[in-house]
Amino acid sequence: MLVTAGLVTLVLYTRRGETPDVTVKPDPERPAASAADQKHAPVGSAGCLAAACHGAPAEKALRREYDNHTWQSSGACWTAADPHSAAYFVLTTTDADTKAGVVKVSGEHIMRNLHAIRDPNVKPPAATEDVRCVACHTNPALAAEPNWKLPDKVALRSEGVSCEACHGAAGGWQGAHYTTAFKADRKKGYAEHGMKPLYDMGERAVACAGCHVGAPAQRDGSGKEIVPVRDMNHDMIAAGHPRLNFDFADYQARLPRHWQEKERLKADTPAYEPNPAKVWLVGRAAHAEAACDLLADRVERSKGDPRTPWPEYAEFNCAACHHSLRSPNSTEHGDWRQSLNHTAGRPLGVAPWQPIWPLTSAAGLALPTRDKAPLSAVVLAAESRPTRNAGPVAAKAATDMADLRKKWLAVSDSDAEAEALKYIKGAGAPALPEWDAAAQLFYGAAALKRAKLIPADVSAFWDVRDALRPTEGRGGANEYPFPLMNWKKLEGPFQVILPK
Amino acid sequence: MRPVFVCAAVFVACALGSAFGPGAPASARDNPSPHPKPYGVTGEQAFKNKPATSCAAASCHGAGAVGAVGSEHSTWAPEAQFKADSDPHNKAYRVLYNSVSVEMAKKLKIGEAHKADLCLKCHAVPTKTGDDATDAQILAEGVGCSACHGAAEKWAGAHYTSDWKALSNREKWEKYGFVPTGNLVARLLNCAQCHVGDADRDVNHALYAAGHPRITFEAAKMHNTKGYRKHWEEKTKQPDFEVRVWVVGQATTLRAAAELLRVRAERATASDFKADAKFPDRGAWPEYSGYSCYACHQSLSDTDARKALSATPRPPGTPGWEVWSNAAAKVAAQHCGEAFPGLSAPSWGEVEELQKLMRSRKGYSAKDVAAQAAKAVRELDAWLVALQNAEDRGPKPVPTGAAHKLAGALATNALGTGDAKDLFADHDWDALAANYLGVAAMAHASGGANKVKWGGQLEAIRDGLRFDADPRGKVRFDSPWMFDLAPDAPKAGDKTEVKRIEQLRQRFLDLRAATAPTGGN
Repeated sequence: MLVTAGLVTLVLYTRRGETPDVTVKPDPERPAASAADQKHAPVGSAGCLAAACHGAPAEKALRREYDNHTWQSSGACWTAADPHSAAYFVLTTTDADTKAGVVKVSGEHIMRNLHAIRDPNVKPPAATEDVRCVACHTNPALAAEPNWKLPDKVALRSEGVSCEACHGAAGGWQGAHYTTAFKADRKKGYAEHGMKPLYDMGERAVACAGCHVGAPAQRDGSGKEIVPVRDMNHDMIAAGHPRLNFDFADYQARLPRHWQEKERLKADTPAYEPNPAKVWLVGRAAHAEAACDLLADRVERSKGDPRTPWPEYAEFNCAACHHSLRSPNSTEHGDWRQSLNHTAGRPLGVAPWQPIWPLTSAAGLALPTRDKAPLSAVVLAAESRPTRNAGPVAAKAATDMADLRKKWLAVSDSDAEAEALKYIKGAGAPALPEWDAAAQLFYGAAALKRAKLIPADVSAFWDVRDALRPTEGRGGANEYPFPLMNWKKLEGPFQVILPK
Repeated sequence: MRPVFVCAAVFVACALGSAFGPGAPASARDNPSPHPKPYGVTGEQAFKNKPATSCAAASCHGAGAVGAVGSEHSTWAPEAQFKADSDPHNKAYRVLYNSVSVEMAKKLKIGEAHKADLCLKCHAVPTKTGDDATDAQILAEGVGCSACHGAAEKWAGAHYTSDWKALSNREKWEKYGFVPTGNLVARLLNCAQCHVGDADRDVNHALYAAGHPRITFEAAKMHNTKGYRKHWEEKTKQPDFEVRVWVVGQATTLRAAAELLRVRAERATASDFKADAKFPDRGAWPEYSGYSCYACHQSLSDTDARKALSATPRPPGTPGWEVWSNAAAKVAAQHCGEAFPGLSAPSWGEVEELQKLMRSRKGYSAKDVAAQAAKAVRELDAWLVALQNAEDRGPKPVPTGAAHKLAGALATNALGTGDAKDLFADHDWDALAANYLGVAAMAHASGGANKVKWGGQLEAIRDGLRFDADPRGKVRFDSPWMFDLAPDAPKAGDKTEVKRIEQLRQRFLDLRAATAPTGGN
């Protein structure tokens, strides 16, 4: 298989006369496997799904009814309904699957573009053999150097983003996590055995962001890779991978939950429903933390590896570059890009760093202003010369964001609601056809709606959602909505959903 | 193995002065010179400018008979009393007062545009003579006499003497600061200072974002711009003139682009470079304006142009470096013997290395780019020296059919090779436009599109390259935003319903067929 892929690639390179660049070393260059420490060894989900463990029938959880027995059916619930279970499968999809309507964009299609293969009769290298893809489309630990070529670990990839992807490689904890000793002091148990403390909403959000935003490689004390770098960059977006539009609160609300929310560190505490406004705040902070870590890591990697580019275009707002150049003053709202009211001091022609609103100042929102935004230092550094200097600034900001995440998690529900409302109310209606800010505002308003803080009918939210979606039909399967946004269609419904 | 120029090398040319000619061939290899440069703006000069009043005396260049010898300044200058064509360079300073310039300067925070060095370097001839009134007068002339002909301090009193006429072009430049614009290489290098840019004249992405029109230089088209009242007559007749202008234009444009890239890359790596608010964002790396605009300013649909219609060697996600200046330059290099019989194709290895570097990951490394760009500039300068010397020798006539041959080569160049021969060589709008303009120059050289058999195919491409009309009226900027999208609402009677980009490919295929050696005039 590998040999075939290699030959095809060789033929291709010869024909094209040059070697395509890659950001992360592809499979053939990865060093031979050496056994991982048992603590970080992935074992696969089969061990979790025994009927007496987590494989009990899941009809309750699938109805979103949770009780003290939900844990017994967690694996079955995941298997039945969690989209993460299909994560590996999408890597195997082909042009035929696209034609049949199975997927919008197939793994084969993306790999073909990534390797710039035009001939439809030439099969591109498999996405399932490319560490850049495997790093997120299954348990990331399976793509770590020590596991990359071990046949029993390779066999586990097809499980997709299964138990250990989120809970941590189970080699260290599968035999311990149900013991009385472990349960007596969960905090200690999780830490000692390498199980991720996902009961902490903030840690959970950081875990999600590892793939849904990206993350640096993780290594153990001896430098051995535990999790490879996860970096879905501009190369892959250009090849057809969808942009990572992540909102933790929204994803939490939509995921078929396979657990009961409760305070896990104390025995016999009642179950609770997390406050949606708090989930949103914590999610934004964790997202920002992950984005800062990734930015710092990209800058660092670009110094040693000429194949890692800096600037990495995926760091910036897509529509900052990808917009039509049609004379701005000939279109309604057209000149906002050049308007000093909206650049908020950003030099003209400089791409704005990703608007992880409400933590950065996003164009189109009256508040928060640049100097009040918690990430203003990163924003300013990413917009100053050289942009490389943003790396260390972001590394520092990541720790600040971790503190903010913890702070927001610790506040009372009513304080969290007040804090979230401060952003949403202060924002005013988006004044501009700027998709990122509008989408962030929508997610924030939706979280407040779930928190019952917004009286507007839910159908008004669907109107906004529809307006944020692409114009149908013109741009093929993977069209992005923001360059072709119908602002008029969006503005009215937005006025309806925003709290006055 | 590298081709060797059959030409007089630079030092031979100097030594022989006006006496050199076709009888003095020498190989560039024989010269130990570290970097032979064409004369003209590539050298250092520090002579003072003079106002146009020095030139526009009635008995010199201001006789008032528009179009006549002796009335060059009168022809260049706008009419005082009625509206007529003139030389647009005379408006260059005035536009700094218009609403767009005022707005741009405000956005860029550079003070007033008509006082900012950033703008004046190209929109006028900023001068320090020591006399403020003279300096102001020279400024107000816009891109006046000395912008193209050189600072007149030394030569104003000498350029009509018989001794002057005995000087070589290189001497005129090096000793007197006179730009021998009769030599196309010297002339077009001079144009490229502003129309492409150099270290002092850097129209970067900040300026574009603030509203500066895009700079695209195509020498043959510029020489035939509608409304441009030329104050000179070309000594070389068609088709020879335009064939040569196109070839020399490609060489000088790419040279200027490579040099600008080198300067930008060096600034970005220089430890002592200090940002200066008077020159916004100078020192940025990568400098976005060095790439094709539409590489980034494109729609984000996952559609055909790259994967199905194009043989571009650029990996997805990588913008093309100066596609406008690169796309057709190799055709000019390979066919320079058509324009200048006796010249062989120049060596092109360093240019190709630079192109390759700029589409690779290492193209993000300013240090690597600065080094390779310097090598490419040197290689291009060697070519320019050869072209310049050929010009000075008075080249043999362009052979019959050369324009047609070049048109065919350009149509072929726009498309791929081998198993990709029916795809675009590069789908970027700039690449298509550069090849189109080359073919258009060849048609113009041959008497116009109605005089060549492939005129219809050429005009179809021109129409295809045009951006859609905006229902709201005239637009100052635009992009081929919708070229790769499915047709929105096909016009009545239009049964094809193909995308614009596919339509263009078909038209280039038609042009290639029509200009093939057996198919033209």
